[in-house]
Amino acid sequence: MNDHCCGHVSLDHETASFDALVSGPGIESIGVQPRPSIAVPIVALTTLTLAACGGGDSSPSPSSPGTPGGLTATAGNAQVVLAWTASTGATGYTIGRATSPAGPFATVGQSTSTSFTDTAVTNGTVYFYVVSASNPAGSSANSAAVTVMPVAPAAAGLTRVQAARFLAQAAFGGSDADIQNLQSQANGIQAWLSQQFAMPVNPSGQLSNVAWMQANDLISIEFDTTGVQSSLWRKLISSPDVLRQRMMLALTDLFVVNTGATTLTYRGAAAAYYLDQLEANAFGNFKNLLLAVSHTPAMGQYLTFLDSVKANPVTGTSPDENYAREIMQLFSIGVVQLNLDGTPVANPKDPGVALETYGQSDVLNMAKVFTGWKLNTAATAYPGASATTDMINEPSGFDSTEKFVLGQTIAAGLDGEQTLEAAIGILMQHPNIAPFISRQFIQRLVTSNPAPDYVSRVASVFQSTQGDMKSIITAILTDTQATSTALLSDPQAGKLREPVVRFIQWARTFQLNIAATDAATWAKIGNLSSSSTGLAESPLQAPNVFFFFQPSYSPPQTALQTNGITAPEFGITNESSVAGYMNFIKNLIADGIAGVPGNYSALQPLVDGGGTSAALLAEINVLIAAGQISAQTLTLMQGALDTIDVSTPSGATNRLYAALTLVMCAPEFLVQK
Amino acid sequence: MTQAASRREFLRLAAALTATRFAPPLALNLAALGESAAATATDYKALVCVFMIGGNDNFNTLVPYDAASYAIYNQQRPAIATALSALTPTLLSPATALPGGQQFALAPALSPLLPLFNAGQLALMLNIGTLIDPIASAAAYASAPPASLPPQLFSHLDQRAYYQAEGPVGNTSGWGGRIADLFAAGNGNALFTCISPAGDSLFLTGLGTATYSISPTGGAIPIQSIVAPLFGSAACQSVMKSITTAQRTDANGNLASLFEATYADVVARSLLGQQVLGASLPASTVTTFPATTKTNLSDQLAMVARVIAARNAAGVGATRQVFMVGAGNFDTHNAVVTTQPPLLSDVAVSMAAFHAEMSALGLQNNVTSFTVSDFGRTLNSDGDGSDHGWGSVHFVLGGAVNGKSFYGTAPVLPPSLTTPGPLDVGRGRFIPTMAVDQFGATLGSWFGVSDANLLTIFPNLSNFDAGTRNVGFMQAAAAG
Repeated sequence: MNDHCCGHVSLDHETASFDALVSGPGIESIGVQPRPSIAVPIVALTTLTLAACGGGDSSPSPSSPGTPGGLTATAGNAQVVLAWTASTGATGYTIGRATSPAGPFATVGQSTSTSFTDTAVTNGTVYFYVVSASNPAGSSANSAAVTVMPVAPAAAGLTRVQAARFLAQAAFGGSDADIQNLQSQANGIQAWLSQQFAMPVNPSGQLSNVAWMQANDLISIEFDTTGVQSSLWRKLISSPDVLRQRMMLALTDLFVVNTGATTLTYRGAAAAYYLDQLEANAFGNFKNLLLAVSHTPAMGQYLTFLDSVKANPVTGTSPDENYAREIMQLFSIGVVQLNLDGTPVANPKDPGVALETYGQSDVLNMAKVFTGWKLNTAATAYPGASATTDMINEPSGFDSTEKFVLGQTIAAGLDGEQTLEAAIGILMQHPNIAPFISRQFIQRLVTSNPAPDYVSRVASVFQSTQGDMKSIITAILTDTQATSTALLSDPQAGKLREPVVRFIQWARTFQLNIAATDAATWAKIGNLSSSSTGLAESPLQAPNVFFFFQPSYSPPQTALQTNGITAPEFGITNESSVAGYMNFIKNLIADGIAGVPGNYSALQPLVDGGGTSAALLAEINVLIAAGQISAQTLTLMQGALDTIDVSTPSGATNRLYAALTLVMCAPEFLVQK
Repeated sequence: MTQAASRREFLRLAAALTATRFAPPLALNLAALGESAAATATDYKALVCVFMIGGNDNFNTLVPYDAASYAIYNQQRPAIATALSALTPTLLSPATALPGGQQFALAPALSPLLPLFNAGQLALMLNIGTLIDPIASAAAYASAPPASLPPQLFSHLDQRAYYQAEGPVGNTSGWGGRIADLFAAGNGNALFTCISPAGDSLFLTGLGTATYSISPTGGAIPIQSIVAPLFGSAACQSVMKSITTAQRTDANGNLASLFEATYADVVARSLLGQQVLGASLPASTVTTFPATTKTNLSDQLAMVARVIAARNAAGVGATRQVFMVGAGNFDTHNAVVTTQPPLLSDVAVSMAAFHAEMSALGLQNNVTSFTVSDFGRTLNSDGDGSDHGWGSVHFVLGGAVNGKSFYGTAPVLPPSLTTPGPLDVGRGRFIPTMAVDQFGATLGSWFGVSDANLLTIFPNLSNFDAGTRNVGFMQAAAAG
């Protein structure tokens, strides 16, 4: 059990249905619902009330039509296209629109068909739609609400550089084909996002992590995480749903789990299930993400609330406080009260002392929520199946007494599931969650130091959509702070690309060719977290729940810190790790990884023809650096590269490798702007 | 010195000036005092901080052993208490017995430290932790204004940071680095003053001194594409060096990107360090280190030993150095009985091996190592582990240590499961009776820092009675 390889893990770089049950206003019930391709159903207070009266497809009276179902809303440029499924007996439909989930829903149109296009909308505004059916006998209840934000397309026809820049933020960069695909979209970024949002989980015959490990007989291996690591590299490098993969990676940075550092027997299986849950909810709702993560055996064991039980007055034991603290500190609200724009709330009494979001009493009460959680031992399909099944709450270990959390009360007598949902509902209601989470997602995708107004815009979308991930992602990636060319020359803008993202970018751009089924080859990629020979980080290998670096980190004694600029990835950037990265990338470019070389066929003609390296560098600059290497630096590089004689195949190869290595080591590439 | 390196100096000055926003006296005084203090250091001394990351369970590290205390310990954590019989071999016999018959035993896994204690080279702090002001009781804690309490007690990140930083909340420098600031100018190359094989550390960040990171096994790593032709091209090798170390400027001569400049600065330091230290590091330690299984921590300490062995090499010329190493997974909310002993064993074996290596180099009186952690843990159990606490137990090891002794006062244990002790702020989270500032000042005094400078380096120190600021676990420094 105690194969504490975890003692060795990563030290090299050490340097993540209750409204009546909860007092307080505005708590909603969000159940698990089918998710249409674009819009996510939001059950608002009004619709909840109506649904509770009218109930699903049942009718208020025998002769009036049923409530329309399946409402979807597709964003366009200054328009929203709505579609729904027909209600029995309906002769017409009324479309209601609001700018907050609670309404009021004003009628914006009627339709006799099952679709409607609303053109009286403003780009960048979040709207909520409902539809009701009517016939001479009366009207149905409103449907569940959906949310949508129309967005202006990027100036018609993205340039290659614009497309490459966007793909660096939303994906892992991209190959020439990926760039062409984005450029060919009539509606640019918005269409690309719709395309990605529409992809199912595990598209094109891809297997989920759990299914892949089953198929490769890896799921039941005890005390092993190499299998799940292989599965994860497979997804990150080769799965076509690249936006979901990028978000999944960002979520592993936020909801940190390293099952290799736990005592779980089936730690690989547990990690696979946790990853699958992140993927399944990456385009869902943040509340559902928190609920899903809180049910995984991986998190239960990593943050040790699995098997935590209520206080025992005889033995004197108390509930484990670990997850109770970290779900607040790291996964939802943080330790300091925030304004909507992510800045700390000023303390009127003592400006030097931050206003804390919670105290030890909140932790002790929250710890009671996380009692009674057990592995579901009824899952026996294979050894380890309980690690790939949600934890269950066992009443005998659960503390069902009244709890006081963040100024709200969770009533006594609820069961474990109801209490968990109530507690997460309280977190979702906290004013911190929108800016705290929004800022971190911006840091993962676009920039380390987002301007307060950028955070504010994204956090507003988080709030108005109650945590709809698609809306949040869209708001982040379509904001002017993500697309503005002015920021390209702002000395304080940008972010250091995460080392693992640089690696995946290389693998995707140069189409690392490993068959999805080739488990043995995927396994050869392995753990890349050595700072002296690798990337100083690797997925699922964080040294602890605080990940490899922290969102508030600013490197000491630098102009970044002097200017109050946060730069999280600098937390793993030091004299040793920069050498490790530069050596890793040079070897990667020349030798590939796992015995598989990169596919440089798109670049090969640019060195085979002889002549200067100008065209080669120009192409690499677009593909790898989104055109962000300056002309002066390109000139320097070209001068050196042109001294390599390319009249022989080995000379041509050397020039190609040297050019790629120079670009992938250049600070102008490493800093994504 | 390259342009990049001189730029670094500029950036440091800028950072020091910024720091004045937070703590004016600190920045100004240290800048003024640095050179004169450095001039007095002619011997060699080093401090080695061993960070037990995650909050080591202090009650299963130094276990109350006398009958009355053990009974309470066992009552509070019945499922995770170490059996009394298992503790008998490691019962500590200090030179002067503690009052009231108090006795403590080391965790069995720490037995490699027992002979060092008995030899007078190991001392233990009984209840040390972060404090801004002394806090006399749980009642005083309950009514204390927030500004008088360390920030976010019981939170890993905040307490881990404050333990290293001290001073004003949000301080961006650490006390190891601030001590080093005084001596960096006396070293042949200031780059090799604060060194870590555990990555960047706040502890080692001074106002003018930054952490130099080395690999635990590889030492100073050469950058292949800069130390040798890049795919056969010397021209590309040369350009690689210039583009990765240059501070790119815009048309007005201002830095084009602060992110790029910061990154290039790290590459420049990496190259400088490798050029000098890479050639000087001995290939191995003098002793077999450790005798048994190597671990990441033992690798880190072996690398520290190799760097110390190179202290007199050309281009290094170090007279004062501060190091930090780290080991993880001490956050034992569960399974503490099975997970903590190997971690403690690793610490004990590695620190003992390091001390033996220093002795072999004849430096046992010149090098002092000590443990720190995020915080202590609750005496009360959560079933099979313990939760985040405050005051803790820590070790100091070296030939200059007044060993075979306990320092500070252990907290009075809770009389019953429902009655807390006088310093207990809940579940056996004890208010420290020794501040990190007092502990650090005692080390600093040995290192050669004047009392006046100690008050600057440890801004909270003046809140403690003058007679208690030096805890006394170090032998008086020879007049330098």
